[in-house]
Amino acid sequence: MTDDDDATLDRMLAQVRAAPTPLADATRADVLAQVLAAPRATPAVDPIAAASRRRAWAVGAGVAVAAAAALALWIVARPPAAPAPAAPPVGAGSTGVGAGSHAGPAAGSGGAMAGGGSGGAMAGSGSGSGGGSAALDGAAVARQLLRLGYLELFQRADDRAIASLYPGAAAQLAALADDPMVDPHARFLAAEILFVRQPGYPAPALRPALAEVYASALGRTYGQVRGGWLPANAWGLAYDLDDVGATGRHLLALGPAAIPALRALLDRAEVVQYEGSEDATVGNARGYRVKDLAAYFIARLAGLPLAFHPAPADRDRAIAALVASLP
Amino acid sequence: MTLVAVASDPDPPPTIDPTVARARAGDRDAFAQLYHQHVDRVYARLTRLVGPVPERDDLLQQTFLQVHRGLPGFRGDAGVATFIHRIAVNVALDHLRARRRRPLDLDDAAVTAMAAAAPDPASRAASRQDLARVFALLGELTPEQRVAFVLIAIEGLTAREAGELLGASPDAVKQRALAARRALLTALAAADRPWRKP
Repeated sequence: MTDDDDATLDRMLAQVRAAPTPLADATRADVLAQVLAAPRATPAVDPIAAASRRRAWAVGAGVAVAAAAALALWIVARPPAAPAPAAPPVGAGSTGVGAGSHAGPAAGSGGAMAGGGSGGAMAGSGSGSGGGSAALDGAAVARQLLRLGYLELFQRADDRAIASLYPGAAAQLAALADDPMVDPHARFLAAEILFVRQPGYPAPALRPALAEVYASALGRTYGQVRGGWLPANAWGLAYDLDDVGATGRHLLALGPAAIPALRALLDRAEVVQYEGSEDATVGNARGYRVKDLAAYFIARLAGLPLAFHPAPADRDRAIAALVASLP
Repeated sequence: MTLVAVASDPDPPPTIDPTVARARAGDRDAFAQLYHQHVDRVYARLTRLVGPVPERDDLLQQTFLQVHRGLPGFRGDAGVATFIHRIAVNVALDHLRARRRRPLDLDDAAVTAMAAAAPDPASRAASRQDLARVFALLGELTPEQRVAFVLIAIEGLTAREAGELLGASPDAVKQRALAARRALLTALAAADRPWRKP
């Protein structure tokens, strides 16, 4: 590069700086109308609504347990030749919101999945929101999240999938992300949308619980893991490549509170998979395992050095040294 | 190599003015007033950050939707302009991350409108080419580098001001902007490298 390049670049930048950026009057008016037509989110949690929601959960969980027990008794008691029921009762784990909808080997992902009542259990969480998703209750939002998945929500050219949920279902997303009885996959996707769209998210008090969710997601990265949620690109190209992905940045934003949850992944030797062209070429050549990525994020969060080693045995030794140096 | 620095945008005083207070309380007329005060500068900033792309109008709407929703929580710690532009920068950053490594899709009419200030047809054509080229070059940067570079080198913010909008330290923002400039110069120097992605 030469002084001429410097001058050329500065000339082009000056053109951008000086260029007018006219906003059409119709657009100006239309945007304002759309904004004013959208409902405002409830600024703070309404304690009465929250209590109502907790009661709804309790009732929902009770109904779910009873329904599941009834289903189990029915299955045990039915004659061998009897046809299977067309659909299980509400709350028996069929809706994808509650327990057991994502079986797999992910360590640290299943602890909070008890319950499973989803049909009406979240109905109280939709208060204070509206817009395009006003009719969706929490369970419907969770189902939509799981139906869309990470790729549809975050790796498409446009953001229509996110726009179908945010800002219209912002309150439901916040409730889902914060609720330990909700499927961690749905919690993770809800949190990701809020990270992307809501400045200041999450409040410090939410971070330890979200750390468990993000550790679950890291444990469900595509590759040798069964039932993966997202490609390794979301976490980025770690170590010396130093190109943390959007989801990786969100994990780092949770702070050191995430370290305990990540430590639970340090025995996970499944190799993760990157997609695309550039990331796949570079990332897959590294052969990162779940535990390599977990260790990388632990080191970043703890402010400790951790070098990448091509040989897995050397990486294991580095990880052991990292763990030994953690307070 | 140096980064261009010109006068920065002044922020309003930290106290909440009556219009902002009324908008915060839900007064639609006050919000409309606030909107009209800021919309052109937000649109200009979004254009420089993401380029003259068709999605700009959506990003503008997203920005003011978030402003509308976020106003009740606005405490006045920073000026309302900073509050609004912080949201705009984050909206732009999210858009660039989502669009990363996708082919550049400039809005031809918008590029033409940006070049309209040139005095004659030949200058306008040259200006149009330069604008298309610079936005194509900016598209080669990482979203973080691009935003830091645009804020400092094109918009003329200081590293501290850019850091305040990005929620990053001034040093980090400065490093990103410098890395961006190096990358842009390298791309310019590679004369045989096509600057527009297929």
